[in-house]
Amino acid sequence: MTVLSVRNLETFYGAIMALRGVSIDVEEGEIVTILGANGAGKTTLMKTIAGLMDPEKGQITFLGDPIAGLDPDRVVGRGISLVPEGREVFPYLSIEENLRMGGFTRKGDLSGDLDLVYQYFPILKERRRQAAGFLSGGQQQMLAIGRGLMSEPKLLMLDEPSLGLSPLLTQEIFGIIARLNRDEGVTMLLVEQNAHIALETAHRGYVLEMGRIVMTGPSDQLAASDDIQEFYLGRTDAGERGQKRWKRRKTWR
Amino acid sequence: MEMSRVTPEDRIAFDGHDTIVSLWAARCAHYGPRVAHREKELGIWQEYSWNTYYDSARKIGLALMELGVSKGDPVLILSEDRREWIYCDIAAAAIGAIPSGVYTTDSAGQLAYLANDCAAKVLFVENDEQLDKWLEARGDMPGIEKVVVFDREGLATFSHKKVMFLDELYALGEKAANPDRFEKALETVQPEDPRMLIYTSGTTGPPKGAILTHRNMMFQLVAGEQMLDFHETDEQLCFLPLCHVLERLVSVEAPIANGCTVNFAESPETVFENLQEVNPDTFAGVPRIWEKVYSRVMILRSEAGPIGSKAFDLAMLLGNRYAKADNPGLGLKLGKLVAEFAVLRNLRRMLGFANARRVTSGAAPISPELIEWFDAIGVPLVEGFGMTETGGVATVNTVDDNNVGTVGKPLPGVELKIDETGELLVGGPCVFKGYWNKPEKTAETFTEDGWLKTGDIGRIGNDGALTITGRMKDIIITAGGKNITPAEIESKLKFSPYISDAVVIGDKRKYLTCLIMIDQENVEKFAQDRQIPFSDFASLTRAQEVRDLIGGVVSETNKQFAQVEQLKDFRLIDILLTAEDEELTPTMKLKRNFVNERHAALIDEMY
Repeated sequence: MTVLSVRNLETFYGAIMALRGVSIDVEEGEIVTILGANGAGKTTLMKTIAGLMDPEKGQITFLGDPIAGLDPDRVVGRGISLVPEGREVFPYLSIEENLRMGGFTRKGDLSGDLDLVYQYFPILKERRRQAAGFLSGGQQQMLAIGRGLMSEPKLLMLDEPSLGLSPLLTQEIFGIIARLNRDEGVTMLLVEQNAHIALETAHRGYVLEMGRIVMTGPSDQLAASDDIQEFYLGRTDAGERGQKRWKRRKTWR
Repeated sequence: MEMSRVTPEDRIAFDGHDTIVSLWAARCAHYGPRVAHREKELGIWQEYSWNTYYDSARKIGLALMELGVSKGDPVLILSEDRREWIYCDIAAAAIGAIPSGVYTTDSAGQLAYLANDCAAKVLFVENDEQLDKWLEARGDMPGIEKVVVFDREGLATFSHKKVMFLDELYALGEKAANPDRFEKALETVQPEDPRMLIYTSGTTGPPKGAILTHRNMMFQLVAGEQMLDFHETDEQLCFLPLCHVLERLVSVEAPIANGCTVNFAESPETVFENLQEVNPDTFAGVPRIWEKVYSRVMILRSEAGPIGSKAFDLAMLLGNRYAKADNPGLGLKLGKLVAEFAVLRNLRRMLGFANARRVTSGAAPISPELIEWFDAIGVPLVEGFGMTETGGVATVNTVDDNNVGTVGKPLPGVELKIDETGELLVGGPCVFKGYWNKPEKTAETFTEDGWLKTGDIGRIGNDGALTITGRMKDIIITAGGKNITPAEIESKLKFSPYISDAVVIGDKRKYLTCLIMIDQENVEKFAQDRQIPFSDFASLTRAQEVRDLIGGVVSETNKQFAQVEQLKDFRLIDILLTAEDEELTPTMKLKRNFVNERHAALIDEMY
């Protein structure tokens, strides 16, 4: 079943067109990644889906219902939760309060979900009474993901979960992301700069450049493409000289 | 001299010079500090004089002699258009060596093939990217003794005993033992000596190096003077690859003879911006460029809003009527005047054709509708015909006598003949000397009595103007036995802004079909405006609306052709091809046989 389907989305920052007609699909139970350089429009796409920005044109369909232009709280209510870039935890609230904020739009008992989050991130349980501002970057990222899970989303959108994390912590976070998807069946849309780990974790991927999708396919197929290898995986086919400054022309195939 | 009766013995001279290099030396001395070239550096146009032209080429020439390059040795130049390209070109020719260009889109393997075929000792490369091609395949081209790199950028720590940089080459030339060696060598160059080696793009078999002599090129200049008016004050824009004979003729030989200023486009992607900046007086392009200009304007029109697009349509109507009328009435004259002031003048300024006195199209067939369209907006576009083997131009229309649909009358001195099979034969001083080291190929190219076989099918009108209808080897014989020349159908299809190239298929088949390469930019815009979902290029070609759009163009085209020439089906090529792909020539034309091979599955689907 298609969870999310985006069609010809155009979003502007004032006069600047950040998304120039993006169409993507996310099926139930998959992790879909969006690769792209800085300024390609990845975060804009996430924000537009989450309702933080209004699209100029195009449709966003979530579980069959149009959601483009809805207010963010409504979008969360429908079942989309965004783990924003740079974590954005509430520093003066305790960890548990942060998590409860994530479940704010839901009625009923949150304790089941709290247990689930604590099970995946035991360190959060240990420190649940402390202010979130005292957590390390990696722990804050865990908290942000946990907070995202508290609304029991049908689609979890992760915006650069590896931002500012050490390689080891990145591995750990992505391990948990993969487990959440496998064991809990959480459908995810993942924006990531670290193409290596994103392609390892995701089932499918899109490449976004200058606000347009230029390439799409299963992760292993993307990882095998010459363009992806050179521009996203940093393969250094340095040749004879041991260094290369010029770039091959992108063909996206 | 009466050009129509030139015999092989006659001396062909321009201003008393019978070789390009002696004419060049005289012009440099004459113009001295005047501007010869303009090139952008860090975004600002810089000027370079005729003195710099001479001094630089002289130093390169002396250095080449120091490196052991002697008369008759080919030298390879692998670079985008820039002034150093021309300096090296003239320097090599001046010492009697034979310069030959390599397309920057060629692979390392193709470079090695050319290096071995011509046995060049020296290779000029533009930058690290091109140098890497030599490094990659240097084992396959042991004949290259020295590689000279123009740009040091990215190579600060690089050193190799066979590689030197252009500034080192200049230094070598400066301290050369006998400084007058260069002038002496220049004087010994004879009209029959090779001026350049031009590798034909080789749509069939490996590339062949066509030898063009100084006499061939002098003939082009002398004959061109009567058909194409170049002025001393002309600004030109150089952007087609200098490896191609047409650009070399237009941007190197013609400015030498006529003293025009050549401006180099920054890159193939910025041609339209550079056109606006330079506003050239004369301009030589290929159909692809003209198609692009047309589709840009049509897209702008569709975005202009109701008043703007109405005004544009009206202006076009008046422009068209005015261009077609032999004797325009007062009303039409007035209307055209208003259209000119309100729309057309601005349009030309925006496109960079405000000063255009003559613009030409060659190298591939162009649709007559396109020429008429340019005529209507007041850009005098004329079509010519020529090939590497005819030294660039064989026939051309003139602005005053533009016979649209034909490729014009032969240059004075060029003789045309159609043989019994319909093939066009060319004779005269424009015809090349032969292929480099390929006597059997040379023999195949000439008839027994010495006419050049062009491989094109043509007819000559009563007024002497030539019409090319297709290529001999492209003739499609359907299973029904009908002979069809696909070029006419293809150029009609390409007139659509949504189609960038097309190949008609149908040899030994029951009916005709077609493979179409869509224009990415315009079709993407079409899809976006109509909210047609697509992600990458392949999904764009699969969208039903896009197929319907192209289907509409195909059926529109079909209306203009006879029953047997109808396209029964078509497919869109679903990968975005670039000049590096084997299916395309460096001038972005689809190669028929490669396309047939690589997309056999798509073709078989249609039968």
